[in-house]
Amino acid sequence: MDTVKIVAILFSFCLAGCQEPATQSCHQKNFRYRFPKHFPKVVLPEDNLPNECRILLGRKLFYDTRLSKDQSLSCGSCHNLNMAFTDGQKTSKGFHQNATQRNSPTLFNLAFAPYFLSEGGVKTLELQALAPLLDTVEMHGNAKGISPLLLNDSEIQKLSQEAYGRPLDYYVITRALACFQRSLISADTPFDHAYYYKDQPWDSAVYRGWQLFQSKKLHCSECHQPPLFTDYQFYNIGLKNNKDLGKERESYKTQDRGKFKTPTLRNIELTPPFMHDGSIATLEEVIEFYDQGGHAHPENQDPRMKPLQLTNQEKSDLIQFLESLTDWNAVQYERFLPLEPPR
Amino acid sequence: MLSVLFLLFAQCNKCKEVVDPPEPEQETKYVFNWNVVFGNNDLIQGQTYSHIDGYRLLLEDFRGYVSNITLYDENDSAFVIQNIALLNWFNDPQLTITSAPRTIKRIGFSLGIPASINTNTDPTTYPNSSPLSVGGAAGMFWTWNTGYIFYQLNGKADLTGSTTAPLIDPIAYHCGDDTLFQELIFDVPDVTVIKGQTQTWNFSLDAQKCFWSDADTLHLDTDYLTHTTGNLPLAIRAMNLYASSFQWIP
Repeated sequence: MDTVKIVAILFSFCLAGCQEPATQSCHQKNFRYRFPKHFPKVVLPEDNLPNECRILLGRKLFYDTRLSKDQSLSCGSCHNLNMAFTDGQKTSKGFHQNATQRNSPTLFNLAFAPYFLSEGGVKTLELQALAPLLDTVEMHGNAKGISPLLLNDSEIQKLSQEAYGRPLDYYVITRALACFQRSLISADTPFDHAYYYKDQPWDSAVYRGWQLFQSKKLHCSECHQPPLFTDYQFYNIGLKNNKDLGKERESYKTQDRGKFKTPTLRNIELTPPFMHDGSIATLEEVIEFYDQGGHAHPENQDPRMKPLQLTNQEKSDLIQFLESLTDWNAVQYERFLPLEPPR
Repeated sequence: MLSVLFLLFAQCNKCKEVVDPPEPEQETKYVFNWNVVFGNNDLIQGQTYSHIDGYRLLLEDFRGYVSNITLYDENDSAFVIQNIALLNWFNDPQLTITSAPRTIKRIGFSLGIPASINTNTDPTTYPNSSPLSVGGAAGMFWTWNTGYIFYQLNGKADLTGSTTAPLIDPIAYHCGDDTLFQELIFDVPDVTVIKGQTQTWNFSLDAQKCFWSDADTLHLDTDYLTHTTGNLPLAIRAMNLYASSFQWIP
């Protein structure tokens, strides 16, 4: 072996020794989300097309408590996978256990949403992330600067460069979180298999519930439109007035008082308590609420909220149908879980 | 071989000319200087003042965006010399802007962010040095909605009428909406600013007038909170009072 070869080998050993410890690898090549064919088309933002690095960084940041002021909360604190990315609380607990105003919504299928938050004031999934990150009642992140604990994390910085070609900042954080959240797809339910994929038979009670759900008697599907079981519009369904202005907060119109965006019903079995304020504990009580025609909100109640006079069989069938919207596979996907124990 | 390289290097060095450093450009500067008071007193963060209704009042945060800082020449042509600045009014802020020399008969600035920027904006896309970035704005935008807070005045009051009770009643005027954008124009004596000159204009901002003036009074027992949404009428009143609190000082 000549001298040149020996020097080259020694040099390569040196280089290997200088490298940082192995980190998660990712590919920067374009990535395609696996959106179900029966779901609406999604127009992805040009500045945030997905790739593995972006999704990986978003997944890491989603479970990283260093985004909160006292390193106690991550996005995942209020959005647990096993509860379809909700938290089981009436309203979530934020920074220093402060009560937030609203019930934690599911994050499944956000890729299809045209706007975000219950009053719809945020136009992109990227910008939505700023709301919990910076809200003093939620994560209370520092608008003036990201925690040095996060900025000094070489692995995060390396991923940030690989994903977006720039050091970690709020641009990267909001985009990476959005990239990860768009990957949270859920469409593998008994209902999907019976109605859309047609590869499994209907359960008779589920089928009766589905027919009732679409009926002119109940009007459920007018707002909870399949396949996403929401129309993304705003309604006052007659919940008691708890001073949350709802859509009026964004529109300034008093006729929008108490109107909230229609929530999806997918995985609803896993997301109690219900309504924007978490005021209804169980699915049975939700059905009772609609059967009574709401609680008579003093203003703006939707005229379709009227007593329904449902039979016990009908109530049972409706619940069977709603439970057929549970995706037991999605809530166990490893790719949605933290990569490492939560920080 | 070495001699060839040496010759080439020597030839290259020949090409270099000794150039004197350029004369520093004589810059024309325009200075906008704000003197912030509360009535006849200096405005000091954390100090207690008296409201016209007799309540004691403490101001904690007093910031606002100014935009479209404009010079109007003798033909009334408008020259925007700075687009956006976020000012902390507690600091008696000053803006020094470099621009071309010209004759000026009026000056102006707007309170808030122009609609073209305020609508569908994304603070994360601005560099950190920008007052519109997440860090630069430092909370002066709504995260649950689109848009910036044009003007923010936070504080506490004591509504008991006592002279010793703690000030615990919150006051918050967070005003920001395209309809609240206000343009202020001041007639100033004609001045021809030449190259290299610094021209200064002084303004006063009377925080007292943010609470009461001849036109309106914010009564702290009822008019104490607006985030614009939810209480747009109060936001309009607060913004109008804020705009009326600026004066050019001859």
